[in-house]
Amino acid sequence: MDHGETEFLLKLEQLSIGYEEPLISNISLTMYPGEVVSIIGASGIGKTTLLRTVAGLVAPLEGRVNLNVKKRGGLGYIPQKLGLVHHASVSHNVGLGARAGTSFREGPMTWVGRRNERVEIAIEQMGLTEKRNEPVRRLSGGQQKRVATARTLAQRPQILLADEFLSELDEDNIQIVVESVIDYVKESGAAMILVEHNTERAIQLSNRIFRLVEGELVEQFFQGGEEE
Amino acid sequence: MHEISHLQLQKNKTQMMTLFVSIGITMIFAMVAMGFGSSKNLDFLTSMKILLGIQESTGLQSDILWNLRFPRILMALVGGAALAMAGAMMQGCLGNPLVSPLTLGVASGAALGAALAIVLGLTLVSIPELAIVANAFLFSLIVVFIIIKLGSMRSVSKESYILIGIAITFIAGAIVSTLQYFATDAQLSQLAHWSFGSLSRPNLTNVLWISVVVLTLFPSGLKSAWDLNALSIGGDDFAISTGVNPVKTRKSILVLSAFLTSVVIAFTGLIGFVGLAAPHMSRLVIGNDYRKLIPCSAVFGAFLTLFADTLGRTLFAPIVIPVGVMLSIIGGPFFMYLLLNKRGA
Ligand SMILES: Nc1ncnc2c1ncn2[C@@H]1O[C@H](COP(=O)(O)OP(=O)(O)OP(=O)(O)O)[C@@H](O)[C@H]1O
Ligand SMILES: [Mg+2]
Repeated sequence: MDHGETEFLLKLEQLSIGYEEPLISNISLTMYPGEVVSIIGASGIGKTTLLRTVAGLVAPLEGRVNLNVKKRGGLGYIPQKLGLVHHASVSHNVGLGARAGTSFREGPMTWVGRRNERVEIAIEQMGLTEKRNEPVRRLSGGQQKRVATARTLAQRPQILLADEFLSELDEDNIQIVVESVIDYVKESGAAMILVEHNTERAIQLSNRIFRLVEGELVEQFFQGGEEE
Repeated sequence: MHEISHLQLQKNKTQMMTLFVSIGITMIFAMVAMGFGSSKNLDFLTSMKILLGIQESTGLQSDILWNLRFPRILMALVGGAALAMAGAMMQGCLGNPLVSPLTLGVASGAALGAALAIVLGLTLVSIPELAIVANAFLFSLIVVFIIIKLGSMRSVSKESYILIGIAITFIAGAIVSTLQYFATDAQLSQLAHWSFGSLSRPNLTNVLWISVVVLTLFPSGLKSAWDLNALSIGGDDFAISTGVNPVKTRKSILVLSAFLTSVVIAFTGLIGFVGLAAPHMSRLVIGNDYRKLIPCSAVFGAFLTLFADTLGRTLFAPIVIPVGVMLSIIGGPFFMYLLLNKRGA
Protein backbone atom coordinates (compact mmCIF):
# COMPACT_ATOMS: atom_id res chain seq x y z
CA MET A 1 0.00 0.00 0.00
CA ASP A 2 1.25 3.50 -0.77
CA HIS A 3 0.57 5.88 2.05
CA GLY A 4 2.21 8.94 0.54
CA GLU A 5 1.74 11.83 2.90
CA THR A 6 -0.44 10.12 5.52
CA GLU A 7 1.05 10.00 8.96
CA PHE A 8 1.65 6.64 10.56
CA LEU A 9 -0.18 5.81 13.78
CA LEU A 10 2.13 3.14 15.05
CA LYS A 11 5.68 2.19 14.22
CA LEU A 12 7.62 -0.70 15.71
CA GLU A 13 11.33 -0.35 14.99
CA GLN A 14 13.56 -3.43 15.25
CA LEU A 15 11.70 -4.36 18.34
CA SER A 16 12.81 -7.23 20.51
CA ILE A 17 10.29 -8.39 23.10
CA GLY A 18 10.28 -10.73 26.09
CA TYR A 19 10.59 -10.69 29.84
CA GLU A 20 14.23 -11.54 30.38
CA GLU A 21 15.14 -13.63 27.36
CA PRO A 22 13.85 -12.35 24.02
CA LEU A 23 10.75 -14.19 22.79
CA ILE A 24 10.55 -12.47 19.42
CA SER A 25 13.26 -10.31 17.85
CA ASN A 26 13.58 -7.80 15.09
CA ILE A 27 9.93 -6.82 14.77
CA SER A 28 9.31 -3.98 12.36
CA LEU A 29 5.81 -2.82 11.56
CA THR A 30 4.24 0.47 10.52
CA MET A 31 0.50 1.04 10.63
CA TYR A 32 -1.64 3.75 9.08
CA PRO A 33 -5.18 5.01 9.80
CA GLY A 34 -7.94 2.52 9.04
CA GLU A 35 -5.66 -0.52 9.07
CA VAL A 36 -6.31 -3.79 10.85
CA VAL A 37 -3.42 -6.19 11.46
CA SER A 38 -3.87 -9.68 12.89
CA ILE A 39 -1.27 -11.56 14.88
CA ILE A 40 -1.52 -15.33 14.93
CA GLY A 41 0.73 -17.95 16.48
CA ALA A 42 0.91 -20.85 18.91
CA SER A 43 -0.05 -20.52 22.55
CA GLY A 44 2.75 -19.15 24.70
CA ILE A 45 4.72 -17.81 21.73
CA GLY A 46 4.46 -14.16 22.85
CA LYS A 47 1.33 -12.62 21.29
CA THR A 48 0.10 -11.07 24.51
CA THR A 49 3.63 -9.97 25.31
CA LEU A 50 3.78 -8.14 21.97
CA LEU A 51 0.55 -6.24 22.73
CA ARG A 52 1.69 -5.43 26.25
CA THR A 53 4.97 -4.10 24.87
CA VAL A 54 3.13 -1.91 22.37
CA ALA A 55 0.94 -0.67 25.24
CA GLY A 56 4.02 0.25 27.27
CA LEU A 57 3.40 -2.29 30.04
CA VAL A 58 6.60 -4.21 29.26
CA ALA A 59 9.79 -2.42 28.27
CA PRO A 60 11.22 -3.49 24.91
CA LEU A 61 14.48 -5.45 25.19
CA GLU A 62 15.70 -3.68 22.09
CA GLY A 63 14.33 -1.22 19.57
CA ARG A 64 11.44 1.08 20.15
CA VAL A 65 7.69 1.54 20.02
CA ASN A 66 6.61 4.76 18.40
CA LEU A 67 2.95 5.64 18.96
CA ASN A 68 1.53 8.67 17.24
CA VAL A 69 -1.32 9.30 19.65
CA LYS A 70 -1.91 12.75 20.97
CA LYS A 71 -5.23 12.73 22.72
CA ARG A 72 -6.03 11.46 26.17
CA GLY A 73 -7.02 7.81 26.12
CA GLY A 74 -5.62 7.47 22.61
CA LEU A 75 -4.53 3.91 23.22
CA GLY A 76 -7.28 1.34 23.76
CA TYR A 77 -6.54 -2.14 25.03
CA ILE A 78 -8.94 -5.07 25.33
CA PRO A 79 -6.88 -7.51 27.40
CA GLN A 80 -7.11 -11.28 27.27
CA LYS A 81 -7.77 -11.27 31.01
CA LEU A 82 -10.48 -8.68 30.83
CA GLY A 83 -9.72 -6.48 33.81
CA LEU A 84 -13.31 -5.56 34.63
CA VAL A 85 -14.52 -4.27 37.99
CA HIS A 86 -16.61 -7.31 38.88
CA HIS A 87 -18.82 -5.86 41.58
CA ALA A 88 -19.68 -2.80 39.48
CA SER A 89 -22.38 -2.53 36.84
CA VAL A 90 -21.89 -2.86 33.11
CA SER A 91 -22.50 0.86 32.59
CA HIS A 92 -20.02 1.75 35.33
CA ASN A 93 -17.34 -0.36 33.64
CA VAL A 94 -18.05 1.10 30.22
CA GLY A 95 -18.02 4.55 31.80
CA LEU A 96 -14.37 4.09 32.81
CA GLY A 97 -13.40 4.00 29.14
CA ALA A 98 -15.57 7.01 28.31
CA ARG A 99 -13.98 8.90 31.17
CA ALA A 100 -10.47 8.27 29.93
CA GLY A 101 -11.38 9.20 26.37
CA THR A 102 -12.91 12.59 27.14
CA SER A 103 -11.25 15.68 28.44
CA PHE A 104 -12.40 18.46 30.70
CA ARG A 105 -11.20 20.88 28.06
CA GLU A 106 -14.22 20.03 25.95
CA GLY A 107 -16.22 22.08 28.48
CA PRO A 108 -17.90 20.71 31.59
CA MET A 109 -21.38 20.19 30.15
CA THR A 110 -20.31 18.58 26.90
CA TRP A 111 -17.91 16.55 28.92
CA VAL A 112 -20.51 14.81 31.04
CA GLY A 113 -23.08 14.71 28.23
CA ARG A 114 -20.68 13.23 25.74
CA ARG A 115 -19.55 10.64 28.20
CA ASN A 116 -23.03 9.37 28.89
CA GLU A 117 -23.82 9.39 25.20
CA ARG A 118 -20.72 7.36 24.43
CA VAL A 119 -21.53 4.86 27.15
CA GLU A 120 -25.07 4.34 25.87
CA ILE A 121 -23.97 3.94 22.26
CA ALA A 122 -21.27 1.43 23.14
CA ILE A 123 -23.58 -0.60 25.37
CA GLU A 124 -26.17 -0.73 22.62
CA GLN A 125 -23.64 -1.68 19.95
CA MET A 126 -22.50 -4.60 22.06
CA GLY A 127 -26.09 -5.73 22.64
CA LEU A 128 -25.86 -5.22 26.39
CA THR A 129 -28.74 -2.79 26.87
CA GLU A 130 -30.75 -5.20 29.00
CA LYS A 131 -27.76 -5.92 31.19
CA ARG A 132 -26.61 -2.35 31.66
CA ASN A 133 -27.36 -2.28 35.40
CA GLU A 134 -26.23 -5.81 36.21
CA PRO A 135 -23.00 -6.29 38.13
CA VAL A 136 -20.40 -7.71 35.77
CA ARG A 137 -19.79 -10.80 37.88
CA ARG A 138 -23.28 -12.03 37.02
CA LEU A 139 -22.52 -12.00 33.29
CA SER A 140 -21.39 -14.92 31.15
CA GLY A 141 -17.86 -15.12 29.77
CA GLY A 142 -18.97 -13.92 26.34
CA GLN A 143 -20.99 -11.08 27.80
CA GLN A 144 -17.99 -9.98 29.83
CA LYS A 145 -15.88 -9.93 26.67
CA ARG A 146 -18.47 -7.60 25.18
CA VAL A 147 -18.35 -5.32 28.23
CA ALA A 148 -14.59 -4.98 27.82
CA THR A 149 -15.08 -4.24 24.12
CA ALA A 150 -17.76 -1.64 24.88
CA ARG A 151 -15.47 0.00 27.41
CA THR A 152 -12.75 0.42 24.80
CA LEU A 153 -15.19 1.62 22.12
CA ALA A 154 -16.52 4.25 24.53
CA GLN A 155 -12.96 5.44 24.93
CA ARG A 156 -12.70 6.11 21.14
CA PRO A 157 -9.01 5.20 20.90
CA GLN A 158 -6.79 5.98 17.93
CA ILE A 159 -4.91 2.74 18.37
CA LEU A 160 -6.82 -0.35 19.40
CA LEU A 161 -5.16 -3.49 20.72
CA ALA A 162 -7.43 -6.50 21.14
CA ASP A 163 -6.28 -9.78 22.65
CA GLU A 164 -8.56 -12.66 21.58
CA PHE A 165 -11.61 -10.50 22.17
CA LEU A 166 -13.87 -12.79 20.10
CA SER A 167 -13.21 -16.03 21.91
CA GLU A 168 -16.14 -17.35 23.96
CA LEU A 169 -18.60 -15.57 21.65
CA ASP A 170 -21.14 -17.45 19.51
CA GLU A 171 -21.43 -16.83 15.74
CA ASP A 172 -24.26 -14.27 16.02
CA ASN A 173 -22.46 -12.22 18.61
CA ILE A 174 -19.19 -12.39 16.73
CA GLN A 175 -20.87 -10.78 13.73
CA ILE A 176 -22.36 -7.98 15.87
CA VAL A 177 -19.09 -7.25 17.67
CA VAL A 178 -16.90 -7.49 14.59
CA GLU A 179 -19.11 -5.16 12.62
CA SER A 180 -19.12 -2.43 15.29
CA VAL A 181 -15.42 -2.61 15.95
CA ILE A 182 -14.30 -2.75 12.32
CA ASP A 183 -16.75 0.03 11.43
CA TYR A 184 -15.30 2.12 14.22
CA VAL A 185 -11.74 1.56 12.99
CA LYS A 186 -12.59 2.43 9.38
CA GLU A 187 -14.73 5.45 10.21
CA SER A 188 -12.49 7.03 12.80
CA GLY A 189 -9.26 6.20 11.00
CA ALA A 190 -7.90 4.25 13.94
CA ALA A 191 -5.40 1.40 13.66
CA MET A 192 -6.06 -1.99 15.20
CA ILE A 193 -3.84 -4.90 16.17
CA LEU A 194 -5.78 -8.04 16.80
CA VAL A 195 -4.54 -11.27 18.34
CA GLU A 196 -6.68 -14.04 16.94
CA HIS A 197 -6.28 -17.79 17.25
CA ASN A 198 -8.77 -18.46 14.47
CA THR A 199 -6.91 -18.01 11.16
CA GLU A 200 -10.06 -17.82 9.02
CA ARG A 201 -11.44 -15.05 11.16
CA ALA A 202 -8.12 -13.22 11.00
CA ILE A 203 -8.27 -13.38 7.19
CA GLN A 204 -11.82 -12.09 7.21
CA LEU A 205 -11.06 -9.15 9.52
CA SER A 206 -7.69 -7.77 8.64
CA ASN A 207 -5.64 -6.07 5.96
CA ARG A 208 -2.48 -7.88 6.90
CA ILE A 209 -1.69 -10.98 8.90
CA PHE A 210 1.50 -11.83 10.74
CA ARG A 211 2.49 -15.08 12.33
CA LEU A 212 4.80 -15.32 15.31
CA VAL A 213 7.03 -18.29 14.64
CA GLU A 214 10.55 -19.33 15.67
CA GLY A 215 11.32 -16.02 17.33
CA GLU A 216 10.24 -13.92 14.39
CA LEU A 217 7.27 -11.97 13.09
CA VAL A 218 6.51 -13.22 9.57
CA GLU A 219 3.92 -11.72 7.26
CA GLN A 220 1.51 -14.30 5.82
CA PHE A 221 -0.19 -14.08 2.44
CA PHE A 222 -3.43 -15.90 1.77
CA GLN A 223 -5.52 -16.30 -1.32
CA GLY A 224 -9.14 -17.31 -1.02
CA GLY A 225 -8.60 -18.47 2.51
CA GLU A 226 -5.69 -20.79 1.59
CA GLU A 227 -2.10 -20.14 2.44
CA GLU A 228 -0.07 -19.36 -0.67
CA MET B 1 -22.84 -1.18 41.83
CA HIS B 2 -26.57 -0.69 41.53
CA GLU B 3 -27.74 -3.37 43.89
CA ILE B 4 -25.65 -1.85 46.65
CA SER B 5 -26.35 1.74 45.66
CA HIS B 6 -28.45 2.54 48.72
CA LEU B 7 -25.78 1.44 51.17
CA GLN B 8 -23.19 3.16 49.06
CA LEU B 9 -25.08 6.45 49.15
CA GLN B 10 -25.38 6.24 52.92
CA LYS B 11 -21.67 5.58 53.21
CA ASN B 12 -20.84 8.46 50.87
CA LYS B 13 -22.92 10.77 53.03
CA THR B 14 -21.14 9.79 56.23
CA GLN B 15 -17.77 10.18 54.54
CA MET B 16 -18.61 13.63 53.22
CA MET B 17 -19.79 14.61 56.72
CA THR B 18 -16.52 13.35 58.19
CA LEU B 19 -14.60 15.45 55.70
CA PHE B 20 -16.60 18.62 56.42
CA VAL B 21 -16.45 18.13 60.17
CA SER B 22 -12.66 17.68 59.94
CA ILE B 23 -12.37 20.89 57.94
CA GLY B 24 -14.46 22.68 60.57
CA ILE B 25 -12.44 21.34 63.48
CA THR B 26 -9.20 22.28 61.74
CA MET B 27 -10.39 25.83 61.14
CA ILE B 28 -11.58 26.30 64.71
CA PHE B 29 -8.33 24.85 66.00
CA ALA B 30 -6.38 27.23 63.76
CA MET B 31 -8.16 30.15 65.39
CA VAL B 32 -7.52 28.78 68.86
CA ALA B 33 -3.86 28.28 67.97
CA MET B 34 -3.64 32.01 67.18
CA GLY B 35 -4.16 32.53 70.92
CA PHE B 36 -1.16 30.52 72.04
CA GLY B 37 2.21 32.13 72.40
CA SER B 38 4.84 33.20 74.89
CA SER B 39 4.34 36.96 74.61
CA LYS B 40 3.38 38.79 77.83
CA ASN B 41 1.60 41.48 75.84
CA LEU B 42 -0.96 39.13 74.40
CA ASP B 43 -2.72 36.42 76.40
CA PHE B 44 -5.12 33.84 75.03
CA LEU B 45 -8.36 35.68 75.84
CA THR B 46 -7.16 38.98 74.43
CA SER B 47 -6.11 37.24 71.21
CA MET B 48 -9.55 35.67 70.83
CA LYS B 49 -11.27 38.99 71.50
CA ILE B 50 -9.14 40.72 68.89
CA LEU B 51 -9.79 37.99 66.34
CA LEU B 52 -13.53 38.12 66.97
CA GLY B 53 -13.48 41.89 66.66
CA ILE B 54 -14.58 42.48 70.26
CA GLN B 55 -11.43 44.34 71.21
CA GLU B 56 -9.12 46.75 69.40
CA SER B 57 -5.49 45.65 69.15
CA THR B 58 -2.39 47.69 69.83
CA GLY B 59 0.23 47.91 67.13
CA LEU B 60 2.44 45.41 68.92
CA GLN B 61 -0.40 42.98 69.45
CA SER B 62 -1.44 43.01 65.84
CA ASP B 63 2.18 42.61 64.84
CA ILE B 64 2.47 39.49 67.00
CA LEU B 65 -0.79 38.09 65.70
CA TRP B 66 -0.37 38.77 62.01
CA ASN B 67 3.37 38.74 61.45
CA LEU B 68 4.46 36.04 63.88
CA ARG B 69 1.63 33.67 64.66
CA PHE B 70 -0.39 33.85 61.47
CA PRO B 71 2.42 32.94 59.02
CA ARG B 72 3.42 30.04 61.21
CA ILE B 73 -0.11 28.70 61.47
CA LEU B 74 -0.82 29.16 57.78
CA MET B 75 2.47 27.43 57.01
CA ALA B 76 1.43 24.50 59.22
CA LEU B 77 -1.90 24.21 57.44
CA VAL B 78 -0.61 24.62 53.90
CA GLY B 79 2.60 22.64 54.44
CA GLY B 80 0.82 19.80 56.20
CA ALA B 81 -1.86 19.65 53.54
CA ALA B 82 0.67 19.68 50.70
CA LEU B 83 2.90 17.00 52.21
CA ALA B 84 -0.03 14.74 53.07
CA MET B 85 -1.52 15.11 49.62
CA ALA B 86 1.85 14.41 48.01
CA GLY B 87 2.20 11.35 50.23
CA ALA B 88 -1.20 9.98 49.22
CA MET B 89 -0.43 10.49 45.54
CA MET B 90 3.00 8.87 45.78
CA GLN B 91 1.64 5.88 47.67
CA GLY B 92 -1.04 5.46 45.04
CA CYS B 93 1.09 5.76 41.97
CA LEU B 94 3.90 3.57 43.27
CA GLY B 95 1.48 1.07 44.79
CA ASN B 96 3.47 1.05 48.00
CA PRO B 97 2.10 1.98 51.42
CA LEU B 98 5.54 2.69 52.86
CA VAL B 99 6.28 5.48 50.45
CA SER B 100 6.23 9.04 51.76
CA PRO B 101 6.99 12.28 49.94
CA LEU B 102 10.53 12.06 51.23
CA THR B 103 11.18 8.51 50.02
CA LEU B 104 11.91 9.33 46.46
CA GLY B 105 15.04 11.36 47.06
CA VAL B 106 13.25 14.69 47.35
CA ALA B 107 14.53 15.11 50.88
CA SER B 108 18.08 14.07 50.14
CA GLY B 109 18.13 16.38 47.14
CA ALA B 110 16.95 19.25 49.30
CA ALA B 111 19.53 18.43 51.98
CA LEU B 112 22.24 18.28 49.35
CA GLY B 113 21.20 21.67 47.98
CA ALA B 114 21.17 23.18 51.44
CA ALA B 115 24.57 21.68 52.32
CA LEU B 116 26.14 22.98 49.13
CA ALA B 117 24.83 26.45 49.89
CA ILE B 118 25.82 26.45 53.56
CA VAL B 119 29.23 24.78 53.34
CA LEU B 120 30.58 25.68 49.92
CA GLY B 121 28.53 28.80 49.29
CA LEU B 122 27.59 27.17 46.02
CA THR B 123 24.22 28.70 45.20
CA LEU B 124 22.01 28.85 42.17
CA VAL B 125 20.31 32.11 43.16
CA SER B 126 22.23 35.18 44.24
CA ILE B 127 19.66 36.66 46.67
CA PRO B 128 21.22 35.87 50.07
CA GLU B 129 17.96 35.33 52.02
CA LEU B 130 16.70 32.91 49.42
CA ALA B 131 19.96 31.14 48.57
CA ILE B 132 19.42 28.08 50.77
CA VAL B 133 15.74 27.83 49.95
CA ALA B 134 16.35 28.04 46.22
CA ASN B 135 19.15 25.51 46.40
CA ALA B 136 17.07 23.06 48.40
CA PHE B 137 14.16 23.45 46.01
CA LEU B 138 16.14 23.14 42.79
CA PHE B 139 18.31 20.25 43.94
CA SER B 140 15.34 18.23 45.12
CA LEU B 141 13.73 18.70 41.71
CA ILE B 142 16.97 17.78 39.95
CA VAL B 143 17.20 14.59 41.98
CA VAL B 144 13.60 13.65 41.21
CA PHE B 145 14.19 14.36 37.56
CA ILE B 146 17.22 12.03 37.55
CA ILE B 147 15.24 9.32 39.31
CA ILE B 148 12.38 9.52 36.85
CA LYS B 149 14.76 9.51 33.87
CA LEU B 150 16.73 6.52 35.15
CA GLY B 151 13.65 4.73 36.42
CA SER B 152 11.95 4.81 33.06
CA MET B 153 15.04 4.00 31.02
CA ARG B 154 15.54 0.31 31.48
CA SER B 155 12.30 -0.92 32.91
CA VAL B 156 8.85 0.50 33.32
CA SER B 157 8.08 -1.06 36.67
CA LYS B 158 7.22 1.10 39.64
CA GLU B 159 9.74 -0.77 41.78
CA SER B 160 12.55 0.66 39.69
CA TYR B 161 11.63 4.18 40.81
CA ILE B 162 11.77 3.18 44.45
CA LEU B 163 15.08 1.31 44.08
CA ILE B 164 16.76 4.09 42.14
CA GLY B 165 15.35 6.55 44.68
CA ILE B 166 17.04 4.62 47.46
CA ALA B 167 20.35 4.45 45.58
CA ILE B 168 20.31 8.19 44.88
CA THR B 169 19.43 8.90 48.50
CA PHE B 170 22.59 7.08 49.56
CA ILE B 171 24.73 8.91 47.04
CA ALA B 172 23.35 12.32 48.00
CA GLY B 173 23.69 11.38 51.68
CA ALA B 174 27.35 10.49 51.16
CA ILE B 175 28.04 13.85 49.51
CA VAL B 176 26.31 15.65 52.38
CA SER B 177 28.40 13.69 54.91
CA THR B 178 31.57 14.58 53.04
CA LEU B 179 30.60 18.25 53.09
CA GLN B 180 29.86 18.01 56.82
CA TYR B 181 33.30 16.56 57.35
CA PHE B 182 34.89 19.70 55.94
CA ALA B 183 32.41 22.15 57.41
CA THR B 184 33.15 24.59 60.23
CA ASP B 185 31.23 24.32 63.50
CA ALA B 186 29.03 27.24 62.60
CA GLN B 187 28.18 25.68 59.24
CA LEU B 188 27.50 22.34 60.89
CA SER B 189 25.05 23.83 63.32
CA GLN B 190 23.34 25.78 60.56
CA LEU B 191 22.98 22.56 58.57
CA ALA B 192 21.66 20.63 61.55
CA HIS B 193 19.25 23.43 62.24
CA TRP B 194 18.05 23.34 58.64
CA SER B 195 17.37 19.65 58.75
CA PHE B 196 15.06 19.94 61.80
CA GLY B 197 11.82 20.90 60.15
CA SER B 198 10.63 24.22 61.49
CA LEU B 199 7.65 26.36 60.60
CA SER B 200 9.05 29.62 61.89
CA ARG B 201 11.53 30.17 59.09
CA PRO B 202 9.32 31.39 56.25
CA ASN B 203 8.00 34.93 56.65
CA LEU B 204 4.53 36.13 55.73
CA THR B 205 5.40 36.82 52.11
CA ASN B 206 7.02 33.39 51.73
CA VAL B 207 4.02 31.68 53.25
CA LEU B 208 1.58 33.51 51.04
CA TRP B 209 3.59 32.50 47.97
CA ILE B 210 3.75 28.89 49.08
CA SER B 211 0.00 28.95 49.66
CA VAL B 212 -0.63 30.29 46.18
CA VAL B 213 1.52 27.55 44.64
CA VAL B 214 -0.07 24.78 46.69
CA LEU B 215 -3.60 26.00 46.00
CA THR B 216 -2.85 26.20 42.29
CA LEU B 217 -1.61 22.62 42.28
CA PHE B 218 -4.49 21.28 44.36
CA PRO B 219 -6.93 20.90 41.42
CA SER B 220 -4.33 18.93 39.45
CA GLY B 221 -4.03 16.63 42.42
CA LEU B 222 -7.78 16.14 42.49
CA LYS B 223 -7.83 15.62 38.75
CA SER B 224 -5.32 12.82 39.08
CA ALA B 225 -7.64 11.01 41.51
CA TRP B 226 -9.33 8.93 38.81
CA ASP B 227 -6.05 7.89 37.30
CA LEU B 228 -4.79 6.96 40.75
CA ASN B 229 -7.92 4.92 41.32
CA ALA B 230 -7.31 3.05 38.08
CA LEU B 231 -3.67 2.43 39.00
CA SER B 232 -4.41 1.29 42.52
CA ILE B 233 -7.46 -0.89 41.77
CA GLY B 234 -5.79 -3.34 39.45
CA GLY B 235 -2.30 -2.21 38.56
CA ASP B 236 -0.91 -1.27 35.19
CA ASP B 237 -2.81 -3.80 33.09
CA PHE B 238 -6.13 -2.70 34.53
CA ALA B 239 -5.26 0.97 34.11
CA ILE B 240 -4.41 0.65 30.44
CA SER B 241 -7.59 -1.33 29.77
CA THR B 242 -9.56 1.63 31.09
CA GLY B 243 -7.57 3.99 28.89
CA VAL B 244 -5.25 5.35 31.57
CA ASN B 245 -1.62 5.23 30.50
CA PRO B 246 0.14 4.00 33.65
CA VAL B 247 3.65 5.03 32.70
CA LYS B 248 2.74 8.59 31.75
CA THR B 249 0.37 8.94 34.68
CA ARG B 250 2.98 7.74 37.11
CA LYS B 251 5.55 10.19 35.81
CA SER B 252 3.24 13.17 35.94
CA ILE B 253 1.97 12.32 39.42
CA LEU B 254 5.53 11.85 40.68
CA VAL B 255 6.51 15.23 39.28
CA LEU B 256 3.45 16.87 40.80
CA SER B 257 3.97 15.42 44.27
CA ALA B 258 7.70 16.08 44.18
CA PHE B 259 6.97 19.68 43.29
CA LEU B 260 4.45 20.05 46.13
CA THR B 261 6.95 18.54 48.56
CA SER B 262 9.95 20.62 47.46
CA VAL B 263 8.04 23.88 47.61
CA VAL B 264 7.28 23.19 51.26
CA ILE B 265 10.46 21.59 52.56
CA ALA B 266 12.72 24.09 50.86
CA PHE B 267 11.30 26.63 53.32
CA THR B 268 10.63 24.46 56.35
CA GLY B 269 13.39 21.86 56.29
CA LEU B 270 12.62 18.20 56.62
CA ILE B 271 9.12 17.37 57.77
CA GLY B 272 8.49 13.77 56.84
CA PHE B 273 6.11 11.88 59.01
CA VAL B 274 2.94 13.72 58.12
CA GLY B 275 3.26 12.63 54.49
CA LEU B 276 3.22 9.00 55.58
CA ALA B 277 0.76 9.11 58.46
CA ALA B 278 -1.96 11.47 57.24
CA PRO B 279 -2.75 9.45 54.09
CA HIS B 280 -2.94 6.24 56.14
CA MET B 281 -5.22 7.78 58.75
CA SER B 282 -7.41 8.99 55.90
CA ARG B 283 -7.50 5.52 54.37
CA LEU B 284 -8.74 4.11 57.65
CA VAL B 285 -11.43 6.76 57.93
CA ILE B 286 -12.56 7.36 54.37
CA GLY B 287 -11.37 4.41 52.30
CA ASN B 288 -9.19 4.09 49.23
CA ASP B 289 -11.11 6.14 46.69
CA TYR B 290 -8.62 8.84 45.76
CA ARG B 291 -11.35 11.35 44.94
CA LYS B 292 -12.02 11.46 48.69
CA LEU B 293 -8.65 10.31 49.92
CA ILE B 294 -6.71 13.26 48.47
CA PRO B 295 -8.83 16.02 50.05
CA CYS B 296 -9.13 14.04 53.27
CA SER B 297 -5.37 13.53 53.50
CA ALA B 298 -4.88 17.24 52.93
CA VAL B 299 -7.21 18.12 55.80
CA PHE B 300 -5.74 15.53 58.16
CA GLY B 301 -2.22 16.62 57.24
CA ALA B 302 -3.06 20.25 57.92
CA PHE B 303 -4.61 19.44 61.29
CA LEU B 304 -1.87 17.06 62.37
CA THR B 305 0.91 19.51 61.54
CA LEU B 306 -0.81 22.42 63.21
CA PHE B 307 -1.60 20.37 66.29
CA ALA B 308 1.98 19.12 66.57
CA ASP B 309 3.44 22.57 66.09
CA THR B 310 1.09 24.21 68.57
CA LEU B 311 1.96 21.59 71.14
CA GLY B 312 5.65 21.95 70.31
CA ARG B 313 5.66 25.68 71.01
CA THR B 314 3.45 25.66 74.13
CA LEU B 315 4.43 22.49 75.97
CA PHE B 316 7.82 23.70 77.19
CA ALA B 317 7.47 27.39 76.32
CA PRO B 318 9.54 29.41 75.78
CA ILE B 319 11.53 26.44 74.45
CA VAL B 320 10.18 25.43 71.06
CA ILE B 321 10.38 21.83 69.93
CA PRO B 322 10.70 21.63 66.12
CA VAL B 323 7.53 20.49 64.40
CA GLY B 324 9.24 17.59 62.64
CA VAL B 325 10.25 16.10 66.00
CA MET B 326 6.85 16.81 67.54
CA LEU B 327 5.03 15.18 64.66
CA SER B 328 6.94 11.97 65.07
CA ILE B 329 6.54 11.95 68.84
CA ILE B 330 2.76 12.35 68.91
CA GLY B 331 1.95 11.10 65.43
CA GLY B 332 3.90 7.88 65.76
CA PRO B 333 2.03 6.33 68.68
CA PHE B 334 -1.33 7.57 67.38
CA PHE B 335 -0.59 6.08 63.99
CA MET B 336 0.37 2.77 65.59
CA TYR B 337 -2.80 2.78 67.67
CA LEU B 338 -4.92 3.26 64.54
CA LEU B 339 -3.16 0.48 62.66
CA LEU B 340 -3.33 -2.01 65.52
CA ASN B 341 -6.96 -1.17 66.15
CA LYS B 342 -7.80 -1.86 62.54
CA ARG B 343 -6.16 -5.28 62.68
CA GLY B 344 -8.29 -6.18 65.70
CA ALA B 345 -11.54 -5.20 64.01
N1 LIG C 1 4.77 -11.45 33.48
C1 LIG C 1 5.54 -12.41 32.93
N2 LIG C 1 6.79 -12.59 33.37
C2 LIG C 1 7.60 -13.54 32.83
N3 LIG C 1 7.23 -14.34 31.83
C3 LIG C 1 6.00 -14.21 31.32
C4 LIG C 1 5.08 -13.23 31.85
N4 LIG C 1 3.93 -13.31 31.16
C5 LIG C 1 4.11 -14.30 30.25
N5 LIG C 1 5.35 -14.84 30.33
C6 LIG C 1 5.89 -15.91 29.48
O1 LIG C 1 6.10 -15.38 28.18
C7 LIG C 1 5.74 -16.32 27.19
C8 LIG C 1 4.75 -15.69 26.22
O2 LIG C 1 3.52 -15.43 26.89
P1 LIG C 1 2.31 -14.73 26.16
O3 LIG C 1 1.27 -14.49 27.20
O4 LIG C 1 2.81 -13.56 25.42
O5 LIG C 1 1.82 -15.85 25.14
P2 LIG C 1 0.60 -15.83 24.11
O6 LIG C 1 1.19 -15.97 22.77
O7 LIG C 1 -0.27 -14.65 24.35
O8 LIG C 1 -0.16 -17.15 24.51
P3 LIG C 1 -1.75 -17.49 24.52
O9 LIG C 1 -2.16 -17.71 23.11
O10 LIG C 1 -1.84 -18.73 25.33
O11 LIG C 1 -2.43 -16.33 25.17
C9 LIG C 1 5.19 -17.53 27.93
O12 LIG C 1 6.20 -18.52 27.95
C10 LIG C 1 4.92 -17.05 29.32
O13 LIG C 1 5.17 -18.04 30.26
MG1 LIG D 1 -2.14 -14.38 25.10
